[in-house]
Amino acid sequence: VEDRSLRITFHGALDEVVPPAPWLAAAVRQDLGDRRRQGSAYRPRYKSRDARFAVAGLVMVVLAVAVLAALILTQLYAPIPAKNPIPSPTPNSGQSLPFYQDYGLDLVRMASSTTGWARGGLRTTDSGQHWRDVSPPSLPGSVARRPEFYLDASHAWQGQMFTDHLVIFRTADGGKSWDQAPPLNFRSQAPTWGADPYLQFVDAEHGWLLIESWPEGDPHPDPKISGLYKTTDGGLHWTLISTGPGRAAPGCYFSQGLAFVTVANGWVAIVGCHVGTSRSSLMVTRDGGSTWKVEGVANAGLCAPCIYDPPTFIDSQHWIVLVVDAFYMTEDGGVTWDRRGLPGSDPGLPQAGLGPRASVSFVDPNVGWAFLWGSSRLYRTTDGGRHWALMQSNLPAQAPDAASIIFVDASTGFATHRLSTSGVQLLKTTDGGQSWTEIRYQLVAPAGT
Amino acid sequence: MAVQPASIALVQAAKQGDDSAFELLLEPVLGQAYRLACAMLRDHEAAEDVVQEAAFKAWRKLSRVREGSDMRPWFLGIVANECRTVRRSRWWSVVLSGEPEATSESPDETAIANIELRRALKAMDESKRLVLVLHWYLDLPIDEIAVITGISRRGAETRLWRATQELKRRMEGHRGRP
Repeated sequence: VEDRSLRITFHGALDEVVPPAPWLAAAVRQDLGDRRRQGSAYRPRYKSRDARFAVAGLVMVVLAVAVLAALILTQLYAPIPAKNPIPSPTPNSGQSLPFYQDYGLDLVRMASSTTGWARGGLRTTDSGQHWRDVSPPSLPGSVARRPEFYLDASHAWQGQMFTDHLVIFRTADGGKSWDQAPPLNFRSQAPTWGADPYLQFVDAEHGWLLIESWPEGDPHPDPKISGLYKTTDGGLHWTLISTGPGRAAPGCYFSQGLAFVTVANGWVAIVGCHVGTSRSSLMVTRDGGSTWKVEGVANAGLCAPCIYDPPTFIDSQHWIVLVVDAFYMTEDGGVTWDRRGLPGSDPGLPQAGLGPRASVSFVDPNVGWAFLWGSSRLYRTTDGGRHWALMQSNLPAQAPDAASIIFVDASTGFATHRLSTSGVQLLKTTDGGQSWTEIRYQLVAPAGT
Repeated sequence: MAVQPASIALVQAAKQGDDSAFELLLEPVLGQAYRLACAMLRDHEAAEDVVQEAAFKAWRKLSRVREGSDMRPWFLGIVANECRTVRRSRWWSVVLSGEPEATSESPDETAIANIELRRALKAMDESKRLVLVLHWYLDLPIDEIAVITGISRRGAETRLWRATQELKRRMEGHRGRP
């Protein structure tokens, strides 16, 4: 998600300063023609512009030297003033902003057709009409609100990152009240200059926190310092149980997420690459996170698959992992994996960078939907992704990898679509994806502000 | 947009002196070339010049293009080199292209994020800025980034990872400023 957001920000930021140039092809043709005709006598027009700027620059340099000389002479003959003490660095007074203030609405989980969570502590209880920020208040000095995890309608966890520690908050009543855990100092392992935290719970008590950080100085990514923490009291106390799964996979130097399926039986994390590489790996632990090994889908060779996100669990035995143009499904809790294609292999579809080209949501091992980024097309499967049928060919999708879908049952689903300039559009279907209506939602500030 | 390998017939025709064939080969990648040059130079007039100069150099070096190979990374590599040359020879382009400041009319968060990203990008060294623009802005696959930057695939991955982390760090740093 963070990668998608960065891509969207990149496009927005640079599109603002890159004016359209519909004349460019004609200009290039004209320029090439002139050069071919004139041969060595041709002088590009910017060369003459360069000359003008060079003259102007020379004049500016002469003037600057004159002014500098005058200043030096003045200083030489002026009394030396008393030195002011060097001011101490200003502490970072900026507080972390909620995710949605930067990126808009980004659905995380719909616990039912009416109640759900969006990134940044937004919660709805009216099918998405209103999204209220129920996050705990920002602590002074926090630099980011992450990680976060939303288990069900009531239970959620949200972290606040500081430069050297992390504070986790927990709610068990849908954000009405939050419990604050003691600070977790991730710099205690070694001096670091940044950290990526991942958080996941399988029930209200048992959760894991993976913090990956990297040494101060040259940001060489290998080896990274990582710590895997576990809680059995709902996140109030954390115990370091391992230096993280990355150490078990030589060449893999950072994680993309964390996904445990049950407390007792098999939990999975992803370790791989930020971009597609041959080192994408799926890591499995079966002893509570103490030891890890590469397993299953990971052994598929050179960048096949390139894994970008941890598995999504449909139930305890059926999980899926998305790759660029396909997904892998296990029906036996990760022992074996079956590759299944994503629908719509139209060659004309936009290339969605290096990440997966679709948002996929399953409500049971057979029934699922895939929304192809940039294509406006929504497909449905009733046999676990072996076959896909086109459901809708007119969903809005102005930009690749800027939309996602979440289905809560066979008929009710939500889709978010990032508009290029005006925030995020929220759509809802109640007939399994055949028709969609836009929800004109409101973002509601936290109570008391 | 996926760019297909150059048509063998078009490349052959262009090599034999058919200028319109060369222009047909070039046209699909001109838009990306211009966006790359704009992002690297932050000066759209200079970017247009760079694309024109690169097109001319590509025309002169056409004999080096293998039939059936992909035009895009080859041409974008020429554009990237031309940007480097221009930046080294045109000190004034830096003066011309200052980042517009945020207005006092409390711009929305998206506008602020855009300014932060451009500032962070501007502060980074050229090689990192290049891979960031190629990956995050032009959405190119890592194999093409490796060809354009003239380094190995592994090298391109590592450079991209480092550059992305540095960019995020710089953006967070900017955010903390009053």
